[in-house]
Amino acid sequence: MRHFVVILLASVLSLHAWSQTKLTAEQQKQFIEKIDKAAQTMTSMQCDFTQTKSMKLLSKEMQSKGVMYFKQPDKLRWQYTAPYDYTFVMNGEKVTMKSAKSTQNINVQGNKMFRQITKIILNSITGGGLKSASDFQVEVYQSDNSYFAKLYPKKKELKQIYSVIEIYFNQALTMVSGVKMMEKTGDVTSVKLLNVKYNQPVNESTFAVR
Amino acid sequence: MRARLLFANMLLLLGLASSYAQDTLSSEYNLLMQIRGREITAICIMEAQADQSIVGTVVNEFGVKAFDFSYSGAKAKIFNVIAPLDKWYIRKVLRGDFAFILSNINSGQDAVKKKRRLTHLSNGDISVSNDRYKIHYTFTPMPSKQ
Repeated sequence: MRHFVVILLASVLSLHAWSQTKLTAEQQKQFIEKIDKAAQTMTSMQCDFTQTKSMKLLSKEMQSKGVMYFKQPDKLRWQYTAPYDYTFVMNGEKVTMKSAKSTQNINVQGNKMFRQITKIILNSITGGGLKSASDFQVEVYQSDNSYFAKLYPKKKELKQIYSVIEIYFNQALTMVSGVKMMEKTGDVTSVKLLNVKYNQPVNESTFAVR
Repeated sequence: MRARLLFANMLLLLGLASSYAQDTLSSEYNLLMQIRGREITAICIMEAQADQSIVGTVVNEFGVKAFDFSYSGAKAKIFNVIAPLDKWYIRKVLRGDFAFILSNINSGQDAVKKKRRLTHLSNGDISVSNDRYKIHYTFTPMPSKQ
């Protein structure tokens, strides 16, 4: 029986090891340059997204979906449409959060935690987190034909919540395709970006904040 | 050989997961917390277990956990509290409020205990007030996916 368990564990672990290879420092530098170059050509982005949160304590996953609009350098609309309505709009340093029963306006400048959250969202969309050496320790991995980066938070506010944030890229290394956030509690939130469109006109009213 | 072992392992895990899921009843709520003029919105998910105990979590809309809770034998526990809220006096108030909420939320009856009131509103919302600390909770049931 013990042999069976050992073989089972070894087979699972070895498959896991085969599936991803850490890039060398030079390869990682080239990778980040490529992502950065692609991000610089992007003026706007819009997509659908799905979000799945698996919680250690619960048997059921929490699933939600919505739409996202982004315009360089700091305009973002992140809107959940199901199973709940919740809209987060960032325009410069102003943020509006609107749910069915509440609307709140926040100046990000005066709220350190919020500054970090908005920074994560923007960096995740553009891949900019890869360059934030002061915020994250970055490791890039190749898995089959795709790449993903593991971002280990360095700052206290993020370290208290996340153990690691993984950012997944498409094969052409031109865009982020998903983000996985591992919390210290063992919960995992995965966001997948779908139907992504780049550099299409986005109406300014999309980013209107009070 | 490896593929067979993996397949057997997956079947075992799937079997365990499905048998566990059958023993739980899940509820999801939009939660609005009003604390001395400040508002916080969140999602509250709870699962009633076969032994009548309840486990659950409160997360913000982005999925970031605020805290987990459990309820058993008329007592609530609050744990995995996000760092900015992780103070003994916050945990104490939440523990008292959630013990009261979880003992009454599925009863369909309004309830009053000391400075706490729970009211089932006609629109389906569940309103809970802690008059001592001026905290108000509104639980709005989310439509069931089933």
